Amino acid sequence: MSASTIIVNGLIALLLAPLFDGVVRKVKAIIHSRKGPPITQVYIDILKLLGKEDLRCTASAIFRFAPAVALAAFLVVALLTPMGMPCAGLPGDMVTWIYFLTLGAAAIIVLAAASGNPFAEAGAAREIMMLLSVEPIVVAALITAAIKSGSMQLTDMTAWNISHGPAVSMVTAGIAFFLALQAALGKLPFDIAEAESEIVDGPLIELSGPKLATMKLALLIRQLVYCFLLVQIFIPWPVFSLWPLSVLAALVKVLILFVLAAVIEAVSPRLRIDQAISYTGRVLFVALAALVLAVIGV
Amino acid sequence: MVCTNVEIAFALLLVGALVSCCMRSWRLAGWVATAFIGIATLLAWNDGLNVLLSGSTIQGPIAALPRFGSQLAVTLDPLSAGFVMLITGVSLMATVYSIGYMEHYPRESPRRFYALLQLFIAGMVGVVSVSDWLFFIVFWEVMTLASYFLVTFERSDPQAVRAGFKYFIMTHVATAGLLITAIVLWGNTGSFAFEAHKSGLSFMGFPLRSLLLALYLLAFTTKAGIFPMGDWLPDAHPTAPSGVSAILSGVMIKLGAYGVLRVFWGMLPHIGRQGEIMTWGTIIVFLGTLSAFVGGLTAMKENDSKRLLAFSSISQSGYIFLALGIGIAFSASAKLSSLALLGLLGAGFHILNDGIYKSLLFMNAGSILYSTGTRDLNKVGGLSSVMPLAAAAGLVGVASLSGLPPTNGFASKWLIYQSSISGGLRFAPFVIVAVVAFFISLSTLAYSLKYYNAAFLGKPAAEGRRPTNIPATMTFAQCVLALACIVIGLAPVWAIKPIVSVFGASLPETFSVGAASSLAAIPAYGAVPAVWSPVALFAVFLICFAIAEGIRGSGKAKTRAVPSWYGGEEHTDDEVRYRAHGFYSPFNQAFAKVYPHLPIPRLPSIKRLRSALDFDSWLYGPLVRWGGGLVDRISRSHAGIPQLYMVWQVVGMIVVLVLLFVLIR
Repeated sequence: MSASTIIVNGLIALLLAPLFDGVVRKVKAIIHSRKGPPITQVYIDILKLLGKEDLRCTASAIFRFAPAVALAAFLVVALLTPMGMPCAGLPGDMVTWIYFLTLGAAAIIVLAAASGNPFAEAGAAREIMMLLSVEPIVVAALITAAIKSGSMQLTDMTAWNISHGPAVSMVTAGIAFFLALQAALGKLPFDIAEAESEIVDGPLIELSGPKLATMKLALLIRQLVYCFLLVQIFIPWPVFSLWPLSVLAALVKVLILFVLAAVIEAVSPRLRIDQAISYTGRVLFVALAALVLAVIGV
Repeated sequence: MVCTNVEIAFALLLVGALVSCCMRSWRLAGWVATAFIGIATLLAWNDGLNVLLSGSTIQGPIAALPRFGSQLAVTLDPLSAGFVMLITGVSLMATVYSIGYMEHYPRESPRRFYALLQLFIAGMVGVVSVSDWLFFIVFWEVMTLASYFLVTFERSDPQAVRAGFKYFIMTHVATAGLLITAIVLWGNTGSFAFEAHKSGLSFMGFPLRSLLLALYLLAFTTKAGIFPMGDWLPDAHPTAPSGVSAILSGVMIKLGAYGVLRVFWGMLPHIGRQGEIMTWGTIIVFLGTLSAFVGGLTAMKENDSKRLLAFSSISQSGYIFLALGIGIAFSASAKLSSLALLGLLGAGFHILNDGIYKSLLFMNAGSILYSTGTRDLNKVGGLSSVMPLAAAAGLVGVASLSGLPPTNGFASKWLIYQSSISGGLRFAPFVIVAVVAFFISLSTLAYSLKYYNAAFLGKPAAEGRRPTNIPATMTFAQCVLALACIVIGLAPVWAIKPIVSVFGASLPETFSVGAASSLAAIPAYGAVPAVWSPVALFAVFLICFAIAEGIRGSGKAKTRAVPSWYGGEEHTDDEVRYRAHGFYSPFNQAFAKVYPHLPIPRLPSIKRLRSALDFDSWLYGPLVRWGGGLVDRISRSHAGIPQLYMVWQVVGMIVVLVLLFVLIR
């Protein structure tokens, strides 16, 4: 447990998550031949929403507190994620990482159900199905890393990859993770749970003002932790002895991932949920192949 | 003679059953039964805690049958003690719950319920506190029969009667296996004692030993509801009154795991070769994995609240067996003893946790049934405004079932993942078990949120009767169990320490307990490094929550109540209600045929049996009819016509003459 890691990770999550989304919007605008909003637009949106009127469609306590629970859960995940710091932030391992992520998703789903809006509930059911089809890939990739490194702690996996160089199974697992990343981020062609033009932002439909701002920030942090996990465990290079440099390198790698995601998002239409499930099902085979490779020791 | 507390508790339960037979009022019978079970629980916990904390064994011989080589004695070793405490604790809460719940059945007699309930609990306590297979089977039968009558409590419901029949047949076929093993080993050793059978097994040839072990496994997996054998479970658990469902799912099916522990952990490692033990462990692991997978995916499709939870019981039993199998597989190897301990610890801890949250959830589903009169999740909704405390307890139960931190469900799943990944490093196929376990854990989240969202959140349902509030006793029992979920989730060490002692070890062999009760696996003993500090993580979570709430409130935005927004159109609540059957349909179609469910038999065999026992229909009836027909025929010959009589006389004379002629010659 190290205080500096907690502070650095927390600040990256809270302050830089909107920046990446701003870059994504700018890149998409360039591909669409639009001018696009300034990179800081997402900060401005969140700040503006915080002061807007808070409309509540139900008196349910779950509806009141779920956005903050989701944000808190994803913040804990961010503190557990390796972001270039030399040691772990919190006493937790890959299982706690996955379950706090799931806790945040559960908060979003319960919130949607509490709002009682059919669009929200349809979105919630899709959110769970996406979770069910994406998480096994992430888990299989992480277990591959756990077997290679002989540890369930995320920092140990990074350290193993740095010291033992790229292994076939790790690279395969990384590829599977990357193929599932777009679905994990909830970006087109997989923004099925939110699907603005279809079910009007799904779980978020009844949120407004500060609750919407909180939830938006939470979702941005979730995207960020998936990217950091991918780059820090499966592509931990380049390595610097000075931690600010390695944090900076991690940020640059995450930025590249986001730009790639933006390009894919700008050129893809939305898939139906069953198409998405059959896609992730195939990617799962890649992840399981990685697992088999790890077991036989390559 | 000095009696052990468990004996007194057992006697109290039997006396309580007799006293309940004289009761007429539901309410009075409920409180009296609660008093008896409460005192029995206190006594049993007193003994149980003593045994668990000291690691010793309490012996209390009662009677001996030297002729059969059998002895009735209380033998409370740490494993038994843990189970006795779980049985009595959960049963007490279920009884408190039943006081309010059973007002549901004003027309039935309380005698039929509380007497059988106490007999049922006594049977379970008996099963885990003897060390003699003869009495083990006797109590096993007491438990099975009492629970059979409780499952068929609603006699007028043909569904319940058929489900009960299926339960009766399936468990008895399995018990027959248990009986055969007991008799075969008795024939070999002349004794029914656990210890004697242990040595009896070791002197046996490999084929016969494998056969007997397979019969043991069949009996115990059937009771535990493991997939192909546990088919009685999704029919029987929903039809029982909810308090009983809570005990059935929370405790009774765990006795299957108890039996497996007794045989495959208590007896096998001391006799078998390492390869043999590894094979049995692997079989148990894969049965468990299959069960977890099938049960979890089937539960996602269910729209009946209690059936959904019954499938979830199959799935969670699978988790228990999965960890148990890993523990057993490595139990013979001295090098990996700590890895074995990790698996057993995960299984033991999951037995405790599933016992708590599954009984909580069955009580919760019972509250929905009590309040709305239906188990169909499509016909309920928005109940959190009707029963807020039960809704809060249900949320804790659901979080715990899906293993979300900081509840107890997470604590045991953490151990199970750790043991399956560590096991996978030693024996590769166990890796796939870890992946399946993670996947099913997510499907657990999916079905438990389906249950919760459909019942408690969203818009109230218009069809059906208006939901009523539930009695305080029902709410109380649920809140106590929900509190237990959170306390164990935050301080798992309190539960892990005694469970480790159950398996004859001490905590530092696997974990180093650090500051703020953080747990870290010690790699030197065969487990992979992993670390988890429930208190520290929860504290950080609370700080993050405070930060998030601070961010949310920083704009000082005004709040205004508005109606839901349906894309600009106006709808009534009921028109836009998102019903349970709509959840996850693409996913359910992908896994449509995962549970090949046997239909409940329509009881042709019972009809045949009944007609076989009905002598009127095949013996007396035909006999009387035949005799009557004969007499009829004779009487028809008396037509009153003189010529006819003369013809008969002539015929008779001829016959007599012929006879005389023949005889004289």
